[in-house]
Amino acid sequence: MRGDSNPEAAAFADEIRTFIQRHWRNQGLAPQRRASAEFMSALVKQGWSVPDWPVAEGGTGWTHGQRYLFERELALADAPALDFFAANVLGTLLLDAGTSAQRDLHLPLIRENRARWCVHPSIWGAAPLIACDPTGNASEIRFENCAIGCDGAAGAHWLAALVAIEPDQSSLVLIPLDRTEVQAGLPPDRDQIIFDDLVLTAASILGREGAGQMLVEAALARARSLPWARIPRCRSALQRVMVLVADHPDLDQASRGSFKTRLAALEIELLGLDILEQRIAVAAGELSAEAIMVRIKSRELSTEIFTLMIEVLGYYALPDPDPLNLDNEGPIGGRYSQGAIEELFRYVGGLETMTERDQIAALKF
Amino acid sequence: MDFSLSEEQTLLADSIEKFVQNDYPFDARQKLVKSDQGFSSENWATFAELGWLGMPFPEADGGFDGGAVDSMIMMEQFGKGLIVEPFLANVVLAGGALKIAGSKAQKERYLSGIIDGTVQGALAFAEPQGRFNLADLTTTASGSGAGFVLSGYKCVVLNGPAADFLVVSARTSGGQRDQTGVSLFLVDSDADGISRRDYPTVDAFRASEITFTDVQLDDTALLGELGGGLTIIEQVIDEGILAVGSEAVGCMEVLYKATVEYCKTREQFGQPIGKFQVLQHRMVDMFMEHEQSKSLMYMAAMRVDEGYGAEAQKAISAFKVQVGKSGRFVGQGAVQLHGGMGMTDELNVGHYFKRLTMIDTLFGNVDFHLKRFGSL
Repeated sequence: MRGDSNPEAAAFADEIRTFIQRHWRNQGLAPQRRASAEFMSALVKQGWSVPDWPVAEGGTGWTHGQRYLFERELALADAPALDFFAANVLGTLLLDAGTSAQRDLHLPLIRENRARWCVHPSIWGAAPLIACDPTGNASEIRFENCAIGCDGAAGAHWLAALVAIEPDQSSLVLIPLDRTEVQAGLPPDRDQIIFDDLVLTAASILGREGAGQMLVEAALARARSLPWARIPRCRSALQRVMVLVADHPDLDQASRGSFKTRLAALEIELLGLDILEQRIAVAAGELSAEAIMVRIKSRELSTEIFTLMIEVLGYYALPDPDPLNLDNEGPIGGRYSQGAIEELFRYVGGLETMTERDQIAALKF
Repeated sequence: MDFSLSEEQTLLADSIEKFVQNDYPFDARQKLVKSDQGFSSENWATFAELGWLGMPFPEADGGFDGGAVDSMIMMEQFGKGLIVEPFLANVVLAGGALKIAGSKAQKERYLSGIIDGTVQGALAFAEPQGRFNLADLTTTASGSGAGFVLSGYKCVVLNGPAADFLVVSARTSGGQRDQTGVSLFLVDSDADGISRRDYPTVDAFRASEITFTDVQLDDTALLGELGGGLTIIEQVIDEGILAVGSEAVGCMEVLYKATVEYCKTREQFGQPIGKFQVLQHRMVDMFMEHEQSKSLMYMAAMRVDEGYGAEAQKAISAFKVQVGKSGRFVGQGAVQLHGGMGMTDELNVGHYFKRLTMIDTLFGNVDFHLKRFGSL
């Protein structure tokens, strides 16, 4: 049992770290979107934007262990993560089940990070969209005079959603957002998509008609089993809170002391979980109770971390940052444009820890 | 990181596991607890014969050159068996002080006896007013000719009743809480001026309150440098934390697995209670707490093996915090899920719970180590 890595793993981690140091400046409190976009371009040029795809399609051919080390170094540097949905869910679905037209259109856009995807909640398990069918034309998918809420709509080029075509059957539909019949993410509601009368053909369906839910569930399970270095991400978020506590000009001594104790408690939990995640990283792709535990704990602790960040920010947690502002300048200045409530919302909303606890019980007991 | 064990380490773990399964059933353990000595001399001789007592010590001192990972392996297995033999007090604490700071003569006189099982030691460091502050001492050792005169009071000296010698921390200069001026002394238990009150502890060990009244010591009693005792005792206590923490990880594993088995068989409301989702989730949470503690145990052991310093101290404090919280959760959960039976003396659950609860108190609790972690 040793704390250091084997030489090959150490050399690989060094290579990743050197790349990150060359292309990413740690932004400290509020990573700027412009810098994130530039870093993603560098990843594309390096050929590291879609590491899990087949090598012939632009993948890297890394082992499970190397993939984990790549994620870990990105996370520890607080560098932008690869797009979970586009690269790892949608990309795999396109490769497995897409038509050649769909693959020709979307794969290069994803590989080169040239398209932003908005992901409808139906992908994560919510109810599917209902398409209108007033003409009875089964070959059409129609969205007529309706509005939907979808996180990340502002600036997105495409929407992925499960669309109900029959009771209990849904299809995975790829919906373009640059059509005149669609308004996506316009002020004042940046998360709203309004359809005037959008008509799509069956060519917009990815995979077999009616099999959308099954395809998405399988792709999500596969993507979640990748070694995501969740705990180092938590550690970087915690580091941001630590910097905030240390630098915040308005915290009194007692508050600073109290925050430091809570941060120490979180840091300790993350230290242990980091070791656990490294222990299971070598067990490639197995769904183990320990892997599910890491998912549960990373979400629970992220919830605590972003809750703490909001407490530390105080009033500065209130302003709603402009999602399209690349320099994080609005409305009160780049330093405090945290979007902490959005991060917290994401973790709380994804807190399906009861189902995952059921999974552990089934595996262990 | 490499989490695999060597062949020797796997054999070590297996041999202790076998001993616990075959030779240390719970009712036999309970008989030992109620005996006069509180542990078995036969078992102690077996430990010596199997080399367990010499594992952490250098080969040059008659040991087996084991590191922190080896100690971790041993203590985890001891924890599973809820062993009451005084391995911690003798080997880790008293023996540890000798390992770090003993002269050749001191090691020959005391350490060889610990290793072959013929001598019992104890570390006398805690005082009532000091709580977890190792430097807060009213016990003094003042210079007298070529030697010292030791006077003071030590509380909860683990293995005090059986100890042939004591390692005693005393102030040789400075104020009561100064970080400098602390020294360590090797004191024969039957020296003139020593009086003892022995008692059992709630977690089935034995301890003493010891009063030192003008105990005469010659200069060979000084362990390490004059005034240099605090750094020695801090390292010894940190190694003690790794040991009891590892023991706690073993206890937690037994408890959560026993709870799962119990919930599979105990029926209420027409089915095994383990089928109720709420109880399943409680058991999942117990499993997770154990896993987190186990991971921090590995980290702490590896850091100590890399070299004792600030990083190792931080890792040890992190481990102690986790074990304190997790031990409380798993112990309390096991008692609750076992229902009324968890409260009885006949079932082992309550005894594991008590040991886990006391481990949190030993060498600094969650609150203390959280502050220490933050300050390092």
